Amino acid sequence: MLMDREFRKGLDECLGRLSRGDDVRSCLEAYPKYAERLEPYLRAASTLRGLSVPRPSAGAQQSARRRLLNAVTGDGPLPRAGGLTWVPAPLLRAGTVAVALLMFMIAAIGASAALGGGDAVNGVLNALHLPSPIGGDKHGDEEGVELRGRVISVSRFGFALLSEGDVLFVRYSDDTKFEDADGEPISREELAPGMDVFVRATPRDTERYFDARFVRIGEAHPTPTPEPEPTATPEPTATAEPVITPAPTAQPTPEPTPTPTEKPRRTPPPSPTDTPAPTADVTPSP
Amino acid sequence: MQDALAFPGARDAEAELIERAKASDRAAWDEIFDRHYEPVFVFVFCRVGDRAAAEDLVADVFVEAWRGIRGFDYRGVPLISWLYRIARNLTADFLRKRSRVKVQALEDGWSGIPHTEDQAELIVVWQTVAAAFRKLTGEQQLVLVSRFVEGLTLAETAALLGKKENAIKALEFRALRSVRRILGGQGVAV
Repeated sequence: MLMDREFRKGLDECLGRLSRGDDVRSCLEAYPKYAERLEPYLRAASTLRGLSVPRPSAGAQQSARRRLLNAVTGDGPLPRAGGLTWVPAPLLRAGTVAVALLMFMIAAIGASAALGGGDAVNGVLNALHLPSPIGGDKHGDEEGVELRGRVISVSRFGFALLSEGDVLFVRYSDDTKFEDADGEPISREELAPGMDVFVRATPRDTERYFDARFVRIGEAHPTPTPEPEPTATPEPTATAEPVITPAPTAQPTPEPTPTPTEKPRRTPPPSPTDTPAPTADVTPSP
Repeated sequence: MQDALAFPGARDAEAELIERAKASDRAAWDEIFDRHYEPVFVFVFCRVGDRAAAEDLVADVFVEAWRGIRGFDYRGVPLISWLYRIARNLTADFLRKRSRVKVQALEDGWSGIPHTEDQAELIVVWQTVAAAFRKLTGEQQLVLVSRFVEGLTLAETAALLGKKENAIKALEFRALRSVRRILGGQGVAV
């Protein structure tokens, strides 16, 4: 019992010395009688003390403060910036791609159905860029092809184009230029579903997938529409109504890698001397 | 004994701050945030070993604190003890949800692939330490974080937890023994 008390006293003193910057070895030398027992405790303490805690990013701190103050001032707390942080990043990325693909497929199905000439399945196959023979002037030379059609949906990667009954995907390349009908430069953001466009592009690995060199917006849509048979009583003709699909906006943005820095130290907390225990601490249950 | 409330009126100041916070005083919450954001972050980080997750959780802690402040009865134990308690609950909830996702990339929360071997090693060590911490009781975790990660004195830690110094020593002793056993068993040099 006495030995245990001495050991605990030695441990306290050694922990105090570690906190003042001494190393484990010098502490053990000061207590040779208990060195063997002390060592594992001091090493554990020293390991913890030597760990550097990354600092929270300034952005996260600002955002947290904003959320709090919005709640306080009655604007309501902002939604969490990273509400799904427990989901592994690769899963989130895969999910984003899947959603984008799904939206694109829905747009393709709608467009195909609206055309009347192709069925929904064909629209899906087109959207998935499965190669299938297509004719017409989409086959240009190696340098590029010219495509005319109507924009079905727009994403940050490119846009789906309904052209001569085919749904094509035109991906922006680094040097894609956007022009209006008069050849004046305009921004990519002006591209929207339902617009008629003229695209000069380069075929990629399949015949449904192109890289845009430039996109001219406002060109008259040249896709031939089926002419109604002259009859005594004209029937209404189906016009292709493009399905407007919102473009996916979620973009995984890389964050800077945190650099471990010095541990944040705080000011000492208050020390109650005659403190009764708290009675009604509110602890939100999870 | 280093005691932030040792000077006259300090405790009144804390009580007044809490009263202002209860009245949804923006400046009071700004002050609470400034004082306690980093310590709460360190505590949460030590439990989850994941910076991004810790940042989100700490943001939630303060919003939860605002929601619950009206029921908080200040009797001398510092506000931060209460914040730690909220943090512990939210973190436990988070860890339960995360445990349902079987695979978690090592670098999650460290925002990508580590750039250096040192960084990679630090990530491994922190994930191991965090796992070890989670096997301790809440009070033991708080003692270790306060004493060895934040470098508070025994007296400061005792004040933080509203306990006597001897109780902190006992907690510290048992916590160190457990951590040493867990870390040693997982190949982290201790």
